[in-house]
Amino acid sequence: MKAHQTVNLKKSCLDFSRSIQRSLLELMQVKLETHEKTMSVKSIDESENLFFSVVFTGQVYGEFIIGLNQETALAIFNIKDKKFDQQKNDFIDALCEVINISSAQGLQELKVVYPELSIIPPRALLGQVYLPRYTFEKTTLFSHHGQLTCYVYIDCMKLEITEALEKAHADLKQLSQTVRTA
Amino acid sequence: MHSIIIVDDSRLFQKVMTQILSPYFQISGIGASGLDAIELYKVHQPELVLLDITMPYCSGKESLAEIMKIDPKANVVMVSALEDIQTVEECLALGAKAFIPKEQITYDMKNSAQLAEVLTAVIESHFKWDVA
Repeated sequence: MKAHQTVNLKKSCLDFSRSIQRSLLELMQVKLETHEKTMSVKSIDESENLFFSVVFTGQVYGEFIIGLNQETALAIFNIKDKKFDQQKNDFIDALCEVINISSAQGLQELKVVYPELSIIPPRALLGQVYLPRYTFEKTTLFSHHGQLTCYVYIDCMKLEITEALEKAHADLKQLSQTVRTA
Repeated sequence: MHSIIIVDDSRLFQKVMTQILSPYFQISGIGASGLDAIELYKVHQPELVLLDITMPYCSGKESLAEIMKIDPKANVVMVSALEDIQTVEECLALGAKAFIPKEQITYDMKNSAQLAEVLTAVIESHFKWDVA
């Protein structure tokens, strides 16, 4: 069995979202609810245009992402539209810190299989983002103002190339041994 | 009151730490980068530095090394979101007195007296960090 097949991405996504929920409450006094369910999707929600992300690298590459719609963000975080420009930097700084803390929680489950993963400082993206068609695990946090989506994905390409090379190497070794025996 | 400086690139975390610790310590300075940490240390010579690890321009680890060169007896406590044992060990080897995960500070904020107690113990030199 390939190593990446044993990764519990659902648990990682839930741990990440629970930490987001708790950090938002503790640090920003924003209360969101959760259904405690995750689902696999092939793309991020097209209605979202504000993203916070933390990339992790090591044996595999991947990303923890918070996605939300800018108008929903104003409502959830109680920012008046006219004041958004003034408060934008503080808001982005705060959400970056929240995802920074929470991605470390989500990473713990992934580190069971890939112990050498580490995270890169968070970034904020405004507007549409286009990502390759990874399989994202997602869960939503919501209030009556709208929802915030927590995503996680793993890109196993590097790992698969390594596995393919290792297999080719083993096959060649076997073949060479067979030829020598003959 | 013991004097401390807080260095973290997140303004939110600076604010949180200031709120938690100002009843117990004299906050001599607040910085946002490793370079700030070094400058603030030179200017204020605080009894304790709370230092984030991941910061732009000059990381917490680099500034920790520089502060320990300036003052080998400096009390530096590292703070980070990522509880990575290798990073913790590297920081302790460089002279950090303790490591506190950000998650613990965030979630146990109501128990700020406990954090103040740990930091006071570091300053008063009877705190021993157990990596295991």
